[in-house]
Amino acid sequence: MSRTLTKKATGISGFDDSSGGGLPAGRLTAVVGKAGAGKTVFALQAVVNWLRTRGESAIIVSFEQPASQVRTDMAAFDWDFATLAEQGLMIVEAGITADTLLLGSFDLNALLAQLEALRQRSGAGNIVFDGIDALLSVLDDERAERRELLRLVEWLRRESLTGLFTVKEVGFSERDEARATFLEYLTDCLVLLDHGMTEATLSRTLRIAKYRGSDFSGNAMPMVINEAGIDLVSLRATREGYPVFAERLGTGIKHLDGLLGGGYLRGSSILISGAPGTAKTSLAAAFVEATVRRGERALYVTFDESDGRLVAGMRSIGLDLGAGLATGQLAIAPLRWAAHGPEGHFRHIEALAERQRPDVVVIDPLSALLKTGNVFTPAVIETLLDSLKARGLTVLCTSLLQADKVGEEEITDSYVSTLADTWMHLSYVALSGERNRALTVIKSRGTAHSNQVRELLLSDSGLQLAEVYAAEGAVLMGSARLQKEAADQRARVAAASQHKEKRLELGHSVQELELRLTTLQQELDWKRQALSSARLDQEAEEEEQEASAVARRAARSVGLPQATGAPNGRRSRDD
Amino acid sequence: MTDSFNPGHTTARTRLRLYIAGGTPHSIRARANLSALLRALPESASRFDLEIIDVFKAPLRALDDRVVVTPTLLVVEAESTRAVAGDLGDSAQLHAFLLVGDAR
Repeated sequence: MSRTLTKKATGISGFDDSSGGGLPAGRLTAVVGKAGAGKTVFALQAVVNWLRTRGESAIIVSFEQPASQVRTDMAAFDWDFATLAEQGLMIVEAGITADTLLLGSFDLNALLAQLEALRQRSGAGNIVFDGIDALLSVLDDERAERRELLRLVEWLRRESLTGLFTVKEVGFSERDEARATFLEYLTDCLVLLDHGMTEATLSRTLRIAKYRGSDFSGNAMPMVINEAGIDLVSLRATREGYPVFAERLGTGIKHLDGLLGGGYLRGSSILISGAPGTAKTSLAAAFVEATVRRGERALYVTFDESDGRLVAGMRSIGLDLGAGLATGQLAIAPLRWAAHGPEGHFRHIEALAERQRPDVVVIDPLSALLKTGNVFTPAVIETLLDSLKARGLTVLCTSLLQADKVGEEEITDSYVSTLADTWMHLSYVALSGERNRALTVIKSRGTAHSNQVRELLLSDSGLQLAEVYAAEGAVLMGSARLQKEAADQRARVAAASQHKEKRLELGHSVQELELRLTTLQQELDWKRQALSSARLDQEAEEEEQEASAVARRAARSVGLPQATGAPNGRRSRDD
Repeated sequence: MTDSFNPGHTTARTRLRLYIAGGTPHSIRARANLSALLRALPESASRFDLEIIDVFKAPLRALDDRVVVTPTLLVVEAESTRAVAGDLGDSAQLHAFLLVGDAR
């Protein structure tokens, strides 16, 4: 009983990826969900796509709604349903009207007969049973439901049709449960749609609960319904390869470029975190202004302010966003975080990026998306950043921290910080009765950066980082810095004069010593001379003594009277 | 067609269309039940035109009449069409259903 499985791409963004190619051809798929979950949209989007891309016509059996309602509903999408319907989509109304008297048991053979006739006439290969529960529920009992479902399914299988059932999930009665169980058994592919309120926003999910003969991701995926139909934010398991750049983009803040190896790396993601009021927006705006000045384009998505207030606010610190707006290089998109769930925002931001074609995207603050309390937010944010970086865009996000903890604790858990290539934190440092703004580069992939805290200065002529003054292991800011600067200056001057003094002193010493050296040298010479004279004298005396000794020996041998001389006396030479 | 014996009572012939699905059990029962009732009603011969339609043989008729289940009995009158679905097991209700038009 093994039939090879082929899949037909539905054209539903994200679904074909997660299902490994689409819905099973020639098999049965059931789409189950509460009223309003988007089941009909799902089924019709698929058949519309099959008509458009594969030329396959379809029969749409509508159990709940009249054909006119179906047409109206589908006209809301950009599929041009009306035209396509004419080309190959037949809508068959198959509900039992409210005033039909039910008197006894019945079966669905009439429907089957109709469908078979239509199929033969049109050659349709795809059949949608939309809201089949409406008909099933008027059958006598579970057994009757099973029997009739089987009847339909056997027909589908006989004619090798691709069947899509949409089933409204109502309650938890035994019969509902039995229907659900049987459907699960019958179908080859089971798709569950859910929607509910999380905090104040509507969030929708899709989950593939079963796919016979195929691998599939069984995770619930966030989805939106927009004018293109259903759009699944397919959360990729692996990160795509990003284009790699070596170029560094100026940050727009004096002295920050140096700290970051030249600026922000193109194609990277930058996170600026900080408590309220710490100038995150100013940093973002400075980058945008620099981007425009460079001749590039930017998209500024803000959840906090209107575009007017943003421009005015930035003007007060010397940043001119108006210039970029005027040339169209800059687009500001003020969004309300409550308007969509995170996946809705994701699609919206992507659409904005499509339109604006920016080189740089700012999301200020990204943390606004967390307010929806939606469990998919981290994954959606990751996918959003992924998608923007994959296009080679440089993304700068600001993130509000509720508590001003340069929280390795709080932030370490934050997924965004692991995604960011560069992460800077803004805070206030209070010391000696003053609060100064501090910027800390916590992380900067690809550069060697100083781990120091720098003071951030805002003035009406822009932003800059102050030079570093470190003392006793702490970086000084504000007036403490100024004091230290002054003190250092004084110290330099003092040191200089000290050196001068020392030089003078030494100079004198040297002179003095040189003089002494000369004197000593002279003395040495004299002494040497005296030494040589003394030696000469000694030699002369020895010679004399030797001579007189010789004379004495000679006199003895001849018998002459010896002359006596005092032993110490010196005989005069002329003796 | 007016009934000449009852001048105050205009009775056009009512068309009955019984949709069945070949020889399926429900269909057999419905035919039997309906026949039995009509036999029991004296005026039925003059009042009702019965047509039995097999959906397998004439599916497009079912399409036209929007019949999705079998058996379905349509009572087609001048202004409206009434439908009853099922094997018509309850003769009293069926009778009442057939004669609903008279109450107006």
